[in-house]
This record gives sequence, structure tokens and C-alpha cells, in this order.
Amino acid sequence: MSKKILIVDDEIEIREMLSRHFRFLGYNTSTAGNGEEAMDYLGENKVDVVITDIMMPVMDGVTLLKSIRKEYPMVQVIMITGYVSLDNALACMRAQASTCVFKPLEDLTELEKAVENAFNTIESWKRKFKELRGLKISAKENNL
Amino acid sequence: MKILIADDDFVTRKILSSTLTQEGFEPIAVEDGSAALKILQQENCPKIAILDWQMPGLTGIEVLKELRKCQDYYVYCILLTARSEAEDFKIGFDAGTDDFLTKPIDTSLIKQKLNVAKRIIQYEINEGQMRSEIVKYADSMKELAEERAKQLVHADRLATLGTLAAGIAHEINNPSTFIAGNAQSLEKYWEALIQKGFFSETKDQQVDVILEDFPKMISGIRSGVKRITKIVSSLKSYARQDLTIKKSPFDINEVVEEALEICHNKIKYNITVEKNIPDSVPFAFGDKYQIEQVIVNLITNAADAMNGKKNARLLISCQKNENMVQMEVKDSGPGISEDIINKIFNPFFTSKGRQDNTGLGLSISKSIIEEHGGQLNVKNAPEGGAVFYFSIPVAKKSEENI
Repeated sequence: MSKKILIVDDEIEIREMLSRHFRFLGYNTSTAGNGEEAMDYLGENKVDVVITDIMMPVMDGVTLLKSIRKEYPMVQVIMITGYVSLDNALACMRAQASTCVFKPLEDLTELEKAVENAFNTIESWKRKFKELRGLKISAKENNL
Repeated sequence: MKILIADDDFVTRKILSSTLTQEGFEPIAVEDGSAALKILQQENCPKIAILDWQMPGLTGIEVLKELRKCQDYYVYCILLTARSEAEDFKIGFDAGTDDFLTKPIDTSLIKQKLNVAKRIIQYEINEGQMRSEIVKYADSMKELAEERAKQLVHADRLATLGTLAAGIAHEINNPSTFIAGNAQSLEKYWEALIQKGFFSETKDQQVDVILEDFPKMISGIRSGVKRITKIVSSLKSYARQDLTIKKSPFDINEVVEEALEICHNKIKYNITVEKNIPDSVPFAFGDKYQIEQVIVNLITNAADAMNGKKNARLLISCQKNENMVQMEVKDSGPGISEDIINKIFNPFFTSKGRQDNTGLGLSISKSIIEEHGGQLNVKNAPEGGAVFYFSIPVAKKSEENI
């Protein structure tokens, strides 16, 4: 099953750059220009990880994050932002982002690791569900 | 002292002139009212006048009325008249006379009357002097106020620039992000091509050059972006708008490094920087951005003092002294001349052009250090150059929790 990343940023160059980079690493990628576009896309497509900027028109990153947490709980959200401040980082944490990475992204290694961690989290949840489904079947089989 | 005598009677003029000369005055005699008025309207005219009532040209009363219209200076007037009715005195005083001399003239009283005149006129002269001094002072204050207003506008403009700097810094981050990201991708793509053997052995010189240079160029782009990021980050932190003072323990070495980064452009051409901050110097306690502002100010001033000089040296040193961290910023410039060394911390004092400074730097630096419980001072080094030195408190061990 391919790993799908949705990249959300109002600056096209950044969307393309990140998209390019992660596609080269083997992920499947798509892009959106703001929070609303992102939610529309999520409604129609399966996405595992979302990388999103905070400052965007129409719907900003934190609002998007909260909507995703509510409607698509399995989706991991990584915030990227140019506004390096404690308040921003706290807002991301409180709204339950997977993590946040500060721009400028001189070295994409940090973001790559964040994406890896996000997928690992998803994998570990999937394994748990698989385990549970396996138990259920064996319970049924043993008439428990 | 000059006194004007205006009377059409020759004898009267003669008597008065000789009496006045005896009393040490300098009499100027005229025969009619118009001549009298003319003299009294000139600059440096006599400030005491004895005017006959009945005169050809203008009468004494007419001269008085005309004279009193002038408000710039005072002429003490004595009206000379044979009349002595109460009504006459009323007319005389109303017209503006200060005193009367009745004919026939009693010379015994002239001395006393003139003393009165002298008293009044001397007072007038003193008042006049004070007045003109006040006017001069007011004018110079007005000039100063205009000067300050201009400086404030300038300072405000620079402050606005500081505010904009933070926003501009943020704007620069986005393109930095995708330049760096794309460069990193290029690096990866290139490595992949090399590994997949895309570039087989060729005898083509150009291809060889490309194979060698390509990774170096990418590396160059990446390190360029790193530098941009560092500069922007220093700029952002320096221009931060948060004005509330937040004190905490900080490493003075780090602050000096950042300050040098900010000033890099000013010092790179001809200045050798020597930093002497031993590890034994403990963390200081204060608002690190404000202290950074002070250090940037001192470095900038030092750089300006050594502008164009060969072998310019800037020495920044630090040491612990009891419970204070002492810092010195020393330059190899011309030093500060004795006549201004006491003024340089004054607000708006500047010896540089208006172009890129407000004259506020040192006075603000001084108040920052004082607010931290230290002192900012300056002295001239024996070998030449100026030394600015200040101290701020050491952070207590219990506060140092990194």
C-alpha cells in the first residue's frame, strides 16, 4: 500500500519542492493551496500524512489541524511554519499536531524524520487493529 | 549719559545745558518739537528728554504723544512749562510725561529730578538687556526644538525600519526554504544518477568538468542559504518588537558572537577582531537582546571610529569581577577628545552625520546597562583608541537552568 502525503502551503514553489522531494523518496504526494482545498481533498482521497503551513488564506493551518483531528483521526499532521515562536509551537502541540518544524527548511532531514515518525505511528496503530481483528476472529471461532 | 533739551528759548537752553554738563551729562539741544522727535526716534537716542511745552514745529505734548506710541524702548521725559494749574499737570501726565520742570527754572531741584530719571533709565537698560538675553535664549531653544524634532522623525523612521525588518525577515524565509529544499533534492538526484551509472566513462573534457563541479555548486548553494538564514535570524532577533524586558541567565559569549554576526558587514573590510572571553566567565543575568543591542552599538561605533584606517583592531574582552561580569570594547581609532568625552552619553549628541544614526545609541545603551544594575563608561587607552566598558550582574547558580 503506498504511503500518501498531502502537502499544504499557499506558496506554490514550496509545495512543488516538497512534493518533488518526497516523491523521490518513494512516497505518493499531492498538494493543496490552503486549508479548505486540503479538507476538500481529504473528503475524496485517502491520505496518511499531511504536511501543512500555518499562515494561509481562506483556512489557516491550525484550523485545518483541528478539523482533521476531528474528522480524520488516523491522519498524522506535521506543521511547518516561518513564525518561529513559543506561542506557535504550543498552539500546534495543543491542537495535537504530530510535530512542528520551523522554516526555513535548510535541511529537509528533520522533516523527513518527522514524516517517517508519522508513518511509524500509523503503522503501530494499524498493527494493533490487526491484532484486535485477529483476536475477534479467534474468539468467534471459540464461541467466546 | 545723553540728555535731549528741546526749547525754543536760547537762554533756557543755555542754562539747562550748563547745569547738565556740570552734573556729568551730555546735553543735546534742539529748538523745536519736530527736531526733538526726529532725534528721539533714532537708534541710540538719548533716553532722557527735557521738552518745552510751547515749541514751534510740534509742541511738547505732541512730541510726547507721538513718542509714547513706540514700545521698543523708553525715554524718560520731563515737561518744561510756565503753566502750573492742576489741569495743566493732568494734560501733561496724560500725554505721557514722567515729570515737570516749572519755569522759571529752579536749578536746585534739577539734580534730584535727573537722579530719578537716571534710576528709571538704568532700570530700563537692565530690563532691556535681560529681555534681549531671554529673546536670544528663546531663539536658541526654538532652534534646538526644531533640531530635536528632525532627529525624532529620523529616529522614528529607523524604528519603523526595525519593525519592518521582522516582517521582511519572515518573507525571506519562504524563498530560502524552497531554494534549500530544491538544492537538497538536486543533490539526491545527482547522487542517484551517479550510482545508476548514468555518466559512463567519457573522454569529453566538458563532461568531466561537470561531474566534478556539480556537487560543489550544489554545496555552495546550500551553504549560501545557510548563511542567509543565519543573517536573517540575527536580524529578526535584533529587531524584535517585544519591548518588555525579560531577564534570564544567558551566555555572554553567545551574545557577542551574534552581535559580531549582525555587524559583520561593517567590520569585515579592515578590522581584525580579537575576542577574549575565557570559559571562566559565568552566565550573566539580564535581557540578552538588550545587552546584544548595547554590544552592537559599541561595535558599530568602534567600526565608525576606525573607518578607513589600516590595521584596525577591535578587542572585545570579558572577565568576572566579584559578582559582576565586566566587558570591554576597545578600538584602535583616534580616541575621544577631552572636550566631548563628557557629552557622548547625552541623548541626541552625535559626532557622525545624520545619515544613518540618531545619536541615541550611547544614551540608550547607558540606560540599558543602568537598568541592569551596572554602569557604562568610557576612557581613552594609553596606546590610543577608546575603551568602552560596562558590567552586569552574574546569574546566580540557582537561576542557571538550561
